[in-house]
Amino acid sequence: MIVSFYVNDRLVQLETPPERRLLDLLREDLHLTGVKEGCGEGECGACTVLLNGEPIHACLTLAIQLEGCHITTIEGLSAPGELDILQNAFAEELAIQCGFCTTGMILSAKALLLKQPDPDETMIREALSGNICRCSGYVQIVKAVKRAARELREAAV
Amino acid sequence: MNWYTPVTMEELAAALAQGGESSRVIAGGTDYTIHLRQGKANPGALIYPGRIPALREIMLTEDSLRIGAMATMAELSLALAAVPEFAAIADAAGGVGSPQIRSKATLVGNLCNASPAGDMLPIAKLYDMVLEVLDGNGRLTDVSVSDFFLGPGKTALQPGQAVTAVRANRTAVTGWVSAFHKIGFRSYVSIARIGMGVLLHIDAAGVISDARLTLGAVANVPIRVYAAERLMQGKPLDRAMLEKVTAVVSRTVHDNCRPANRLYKTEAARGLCADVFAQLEKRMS
Ligand SMILES: Cc1cc2nc3c(=O)[nH]c(=O)nc-3n(C[C@H](O)[C@H](O)[C@H](O)COP(=O)(O)OP(=O)(O)OC[C@H]3O[C@@H](n4cnc5c(N)ncnc54)[C@H](O)[C@@H]3O)c2cc1C
Ligand code: FES
Ligand code: FES
Repeated sequence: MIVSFYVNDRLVQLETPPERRLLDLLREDLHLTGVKEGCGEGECGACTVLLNGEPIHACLTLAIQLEGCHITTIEGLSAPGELDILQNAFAEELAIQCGFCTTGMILSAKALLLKQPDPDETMIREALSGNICRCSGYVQIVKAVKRAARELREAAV
Repeated sequence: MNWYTPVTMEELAAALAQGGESSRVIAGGTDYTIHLRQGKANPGALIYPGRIPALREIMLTEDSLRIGAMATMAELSLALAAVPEFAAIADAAGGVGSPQIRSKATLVGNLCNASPAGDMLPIAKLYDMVLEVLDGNGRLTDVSVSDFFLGPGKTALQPGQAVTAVRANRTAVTGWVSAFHKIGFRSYVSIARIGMGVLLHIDAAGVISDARLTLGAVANVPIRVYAAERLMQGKPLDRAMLEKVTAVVSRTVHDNCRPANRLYKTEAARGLCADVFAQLEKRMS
């Protein structure tokens, strides 16, 4: 099939079998390798991207479901060579160790902040509950999201 | 593989007709993608109805609730949390998987998948929901939940049919209060799960005048526990009543489970009752 959808606000058109995963379309066809494959079955959250602003698993999304959709990947958060507020906060708060979970973690946090500019710890933990980190404590990750939320609010005034 | 992405109900019916016996509907894909990749499914054609606007609707009117086949768990938990008689649906939808799962998973997909551990099975049973089934001729037929579930992974749905919506009668439960809770977690041996839904009508004197109670993941299909319902009628929502209901629920769980699961699930039933009734009390005050 030929599927047309938006990736980071750019219209893309791909020729693909309908049962091909969004994860493979992004990594193999579009060379957007920020999205990671951990478990491949919806358990780890490493493949998290945004679909129309909502967090989804790229490993459980197929080409046939994509027509007209807006996908945001980690590459869409900032211009090449720059970091957006969330990425920067993760680096500053030492919320990244091996980094495998980080892009998914940041996109789940992004989805939360789009709806809730001032989340408390419970909301943050709930929003990140589908993202597993094998390395760092979640403490730094929660701190990073709080910091980004604060900086985003300050930037908005 | 053939594929169809209909944008109207007419096109969906045409896709069902053309796709033939081995065509399959994919909704959120949170179950089906995994089946496909494990080689458990090998459809001749895939039909994705997500672009039909009507299928995304959640319609709450004075006398009914209608949930389109493509409405997601996230949308349901948002839409129904503040409606006491349907809050159990929000409880269940809000507890499915993770945020990523809830952005795509549908209630109808959960029912069609018919895993005995599916959280929406006891919910559909609780409200005596009716499924609207479309065939390749464009005919819509109502199927009641009691006829829909035939066993693990088995439903009354025929090849070449799709569910377009489920309905619940609101008039019958207006003024009622509801809650759902589950214990345990998802695992491939779905041993560690039970879901329980309760729907109560409490009169001005604080006495339960009518009650429904359903359990999922206990037997192959969701069940109503009539003995517990009868027990609640005419009683206030207090500790003595809760203890009696808990005893009946535990016994029901024990009698319906495979022997290997009995002890765990019977114990779990106690915690489950405490949680559901605490939630109901909160909703009443
Ligand atoms: C990590 C993870 C966690 C999960 N946690 C839970 C949980 O806590 N509780 C729970 O109950 N489930 C859970 N699930 C299972 C799954 O998310 C649900 O069963 C979900 O509701 C399925 O809906 P879907 O729209 O994704 O269905 P799909 O995967 O698209 O479809 C499922 C099945 O239903 C059929 N189907 C779907 N829609 C229609 C239709 N309109 N007409 C005819 N047939 C149709 C498909 O052909 C397929 O056989 C989990 C899954 C994963 C991967
Ligand atoms: S790779 Fe998608 S959830 Fe693990
Ligand atoms: S930093 Fe290694 S998995 Fe999270």
